[in-house]
Amino acid sequence: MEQPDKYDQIERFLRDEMTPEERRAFEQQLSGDRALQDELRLHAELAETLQGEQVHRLRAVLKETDRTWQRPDDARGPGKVVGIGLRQILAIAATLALLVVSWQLFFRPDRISDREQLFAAQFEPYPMVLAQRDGQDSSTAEGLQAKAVNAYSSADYAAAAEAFTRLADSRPDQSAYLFYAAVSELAAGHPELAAPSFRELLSREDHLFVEQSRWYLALAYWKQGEYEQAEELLRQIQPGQAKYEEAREMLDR
Amino acid sequence: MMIKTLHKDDRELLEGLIEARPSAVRRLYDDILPAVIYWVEQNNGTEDDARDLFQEALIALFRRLENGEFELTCTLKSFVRIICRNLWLTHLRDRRKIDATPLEEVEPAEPDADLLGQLERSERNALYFRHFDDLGEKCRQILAWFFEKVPLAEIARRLGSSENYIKKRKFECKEKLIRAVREDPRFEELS
Repeated sequence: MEQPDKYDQIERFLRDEMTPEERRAFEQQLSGDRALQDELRLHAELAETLQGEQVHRLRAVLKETDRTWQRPDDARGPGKVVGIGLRQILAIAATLALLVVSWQLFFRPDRISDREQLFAAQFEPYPMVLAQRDGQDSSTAEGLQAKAVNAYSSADYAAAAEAFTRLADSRPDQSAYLFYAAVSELAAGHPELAAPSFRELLSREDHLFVEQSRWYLALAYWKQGEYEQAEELLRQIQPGQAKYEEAREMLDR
Repeated sequence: MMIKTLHKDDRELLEGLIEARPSAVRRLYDDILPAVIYWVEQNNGTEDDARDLFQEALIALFRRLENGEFELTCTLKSFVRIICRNLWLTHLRDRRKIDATPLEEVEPAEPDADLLGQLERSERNALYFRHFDDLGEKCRQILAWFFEKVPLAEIARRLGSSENYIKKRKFECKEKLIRAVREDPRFEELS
């Protein structure tokens, strides 16, 4: 059979455009022909994968976002050797240009150091209010909560973050788990992982940790050097709300 | 298409994904990708692996949303992380590096059969997309319409050609795509 005819036959079969007789004959041929089965599968997968203009539009948006999106600096491990690609080189060039312009205004070393010290002075992990449950088996929710609370109480924040994240994933209705997961990430030195969780907590607005989440999100931004966003949140903290004095102190630095 | 989520924000992001809205895609990157990179790096991968994985996960999720009613029983962030973990473990198995951290015992949700099918094939799909991108613009357009089941006569009308010419071009373009896919060494590994 000529190749165009074979393609035509496969396409008509996949689109259910054959007569019953043609279909029976094709299925019979298919049952004893491994190469034809492979060919049919490839045609079917190509059609399924590539069909629709919208998926191609989405891929273009994904490509563009991926090209311009940069991983937050704090997400890189300490001392890790990272290869530099074109994306990083362009990003570094742009950042350097910005630094040259704004050095005197914003980035004097003494000022950065002041800000880091201010973060260190203001940040403290939220007290543990969850009950310490019995249980050794971390495949159960009770055991996992025990592990999470233990790790948090003994300042093993990386382990606490992992355990609380799993709890938060399994019980999205319990905002406390997400809150402690985020505080643990911040305490473990990962503000970029903490910030999305605090943002999510602020969007829920139906739990006990709203005010605290605003405060910690401000600290997460601060730690990442996103001072404008941090200050905007700090200004939202009103007299009588948790951390008002501390927020004023940071704004008046 | 009906999307049910626990949080309004998540529904808006999923709607943004279906519409390929750049602002929604950007937020998905900001909110979820750092955690995915972190996890992949802890499990024998690199940042570039995580970025590829994240795109595959979003495309699989997009296809699942296209296929009809979808209910999210955990947060979107958790769900995408679960998809990425599944995908990465599948990739490691395919590469014979099976010493990955096993999936956590406590998972908030499981991808349904439809989505699992997408995930199982996602590396092959990425390969198909890559070779599709290498075709000329006209070939891509003809095949995109053809796969969308636009009749050849209508494709001919849109491109100002004859149906016979479009039929011939469609075959040539598809043949070129299939040859490129088959000649790719990764295709054998993934089959």
